[in-house]
Parts: sequence; structure tokens; C-alpha cells
Amino acid sequence: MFQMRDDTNRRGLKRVLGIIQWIAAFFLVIVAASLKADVSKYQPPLSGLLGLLQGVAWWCIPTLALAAGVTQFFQKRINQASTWGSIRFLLNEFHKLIFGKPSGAIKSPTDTTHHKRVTLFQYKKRITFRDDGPTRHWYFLGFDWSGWLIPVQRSGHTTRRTSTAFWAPDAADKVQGIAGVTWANNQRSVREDLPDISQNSSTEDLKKYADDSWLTVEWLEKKLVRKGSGWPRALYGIPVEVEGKLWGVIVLDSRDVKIPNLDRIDAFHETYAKILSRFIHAL
Amino acid sequence: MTQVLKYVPLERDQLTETKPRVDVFRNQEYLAEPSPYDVPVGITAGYDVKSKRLSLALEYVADEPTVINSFKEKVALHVGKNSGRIYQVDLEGVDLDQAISQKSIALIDDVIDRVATERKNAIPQRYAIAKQAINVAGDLILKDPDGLKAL
Repeated sequence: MFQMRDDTNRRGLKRVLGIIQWIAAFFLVIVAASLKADVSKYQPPLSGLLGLLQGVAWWCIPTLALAAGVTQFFQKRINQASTWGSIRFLLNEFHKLIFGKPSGAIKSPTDTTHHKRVTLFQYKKRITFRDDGPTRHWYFLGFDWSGWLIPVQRSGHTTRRTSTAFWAPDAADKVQGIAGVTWANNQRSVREDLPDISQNSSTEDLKKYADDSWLTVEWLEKKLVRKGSGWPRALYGIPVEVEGKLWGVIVLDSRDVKIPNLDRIDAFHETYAKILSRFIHAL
Repeated sequence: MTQVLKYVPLERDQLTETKPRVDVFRNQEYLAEPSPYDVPVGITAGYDVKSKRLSLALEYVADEPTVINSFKEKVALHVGKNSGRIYQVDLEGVDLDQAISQKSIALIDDVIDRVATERKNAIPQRYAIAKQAINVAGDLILKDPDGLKAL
């Protein structure tokens, strides 16, 4: 299961972690410095204090170093959460530009935000022990170190937990989904007018959907058990670059048969592409 | 001192290389378009009087570090370090009134073709788009009665 990256604002917690880190570092320096001191040269109570510090140094130093490291690790995670929040903001802006703002009252089954989504996928190498994909890719001892497009951020506030990732191996002909095809060819890809499928769909419809979206019927059937109905009927993939290197893919999906306002995609990139690259680079 | 700077914005309609086309992947036909990162949105033409150098800088939606490839025809290309995209073309030893001409554009096209051929894993469409963008900008500047005018 993939969870969209945390973008919760935890400023207070970050401040507390920062204070703990400074205190740990301060006492680490004090205890380490005390090891060099010759206790016999000092008068009480200083000699007593130095003796105490030298006595506890063997567990104090590693503990304080660990505390400083752990607090720094979590501060970095909180900083990353702030950046992920900014990326989500950009995806929401993209969503508004393409799909428009949702109306106040729901007028139709497709007039809801999560029926039209903008998802950011990151390419990652993962060790997997699974048989997803158009073909089984068992490798040595059943483990495969392969490329995947993992969803890391999405527009809106729902559908933020998903088990869907797309296989993107080095053998590009075997990629999965429109995300995989966009990744493999490094160009925009469009698929519209996909059939409306559900658990009750015929094998013929499932096969058509699978073929049209570069998936397999087996993959779809597994996902249908969990998801049921409400599959996207229009897909649009866009490569994402950071400093000229392909980093991932953005996928627009909609339960309508067409993606609207495709002419605005260039407008989004002209305004936000550099900003998005900078945010990703900062992670 | 750079005497001239002229910015030429580019519209997608002017670049036929960027039009959607039908592509095939695993026996499925689909509509494909170039990545938005590969399409220049404008070109800045500059002329340095002292060195008699024409520079054409392509503006894209994002940037990256570049490396300079120099050629014996007194042409230098600033190429994206990671993507291989053409970011700038420098032409040395040209007079201002001949800086933008069919001859100079043809020379630039030839040099870009060489880079496209020599670079490992080059994406041909990137270079086709860059060449077309330079040609379109060159035509627009030639048709402009002011041409490359001193600021």
C-alpha cells in the first residue's frame, strides 16, 4: 500500500526537535571534553563533577550522539513534509486549470473532485517479490531489482492511499500503464474513451480496457476485487524532469471519457515547471 | 558589449514538430506529443559587436547545467548536460546584417544534426524541435523590417 507523502505542517514539533538537538549536541561536547581533563588538578566540586562526567561518558556520548542524529532525521522529514505540501499545492492548481473548480452542489456522478485527479509518480528502483506486470519477472531467488513508478503525491484530499504502482523496467517494451508508456517514451501520452468497467464487466470489456491502457486482465481483476467500479476512462501522461533528467510522470485521470482543456497543459508548465523541479530537487 | 537583444516568443502552432501524432506502443495506437520540457517557448537573439558573435538562446520551461560543444565552423552549441537539449547557439565572425541569414541558419542546422547523431541515446525529436524553432525565429527576424536592431 502506498501513502501519498506526508505534507502535514508540524512547525511546533520541529521547534521542539531543534531544541532537543541543540541540548544533546551541547552536552555531548561537554562530556567529550571532560574525558581530556585530569581530575587531580582540580578542587571540589569541579573535580567531583569531572569525575562524574568521565564515569558516565561510556554510555552518555553514544546516547547523546544518537539523540542528535535522530532529532536531525525527523527535522529533515518535517522539512520534506513542507515541500511535499507545496508540491500538492501545485498539483491542486494543475487540477483547477484542467478540470476547473468543482461546483458547490454535486450535479452529476462525475462532478466530484476525486473523479478527476492529478497524480505525481516517482521512478524508484525497488526490490520486489511479486508477480505484477504483463509478465512474471521472477529473478534470482525470486527477488527482482526493478524500476517502478510509485505514486507520491496527488491533488485533492481523498484517495491518498493506494496499492497501485506501475512497473517500469529497463526493458521498456514491458512497461505498465500510461505512466509506464509516458516514462518509456519520454513524451506525453493520451488515452481516452476507455470502456466503463466494473466487477460485473465482461471479459471482452476487461480485455479491451487492459489492452488500451497497457495493463493485463489479471492485473485488472486483482484491482477490481479491491476497488470495484469507478475506473478512469481518460488518461493523460506527462513526463516530469529535474535538471534535465527524467524523474517521474504526472498522470491526469478522469471518469469522463475525455480530458478537457488540454491546451492549458502548456500554460501550467510555462508557469510552474521550474518551481516543481526546484521543490523536487529540494527533497 | 552586446549591441542587440531581440526576444521572439514562440507559439506551439508555429512548430509543426510539436503537433500531436499517432504513435504505436505494444500494438496500441495512441496520441503522443513531445514532452513540455522539449518545446522552446521563445528565442533570444543577441549580437556582440566586438567579437562579431551571434547568439541564439532557446528558452524552455525548465533549465539545467549546460556544456559547450565547439565546432570548426566557428559554431558553438550550449547543450544540456543531462538532456542533450540545445540551449544556445553561438556563431562567430558574422557581420550584423548577415547574422540572421539562410546560410547561417543552414550551418546551425547542420551542426545540430551532428550533435544529434553523436550523442548517446539522443532523442531525435528534441533536435528536430530545436532546429525548427531556430528556423521559425530566424524567419520572423528576417521578415521584421527592424531585423536585429541596436537597442
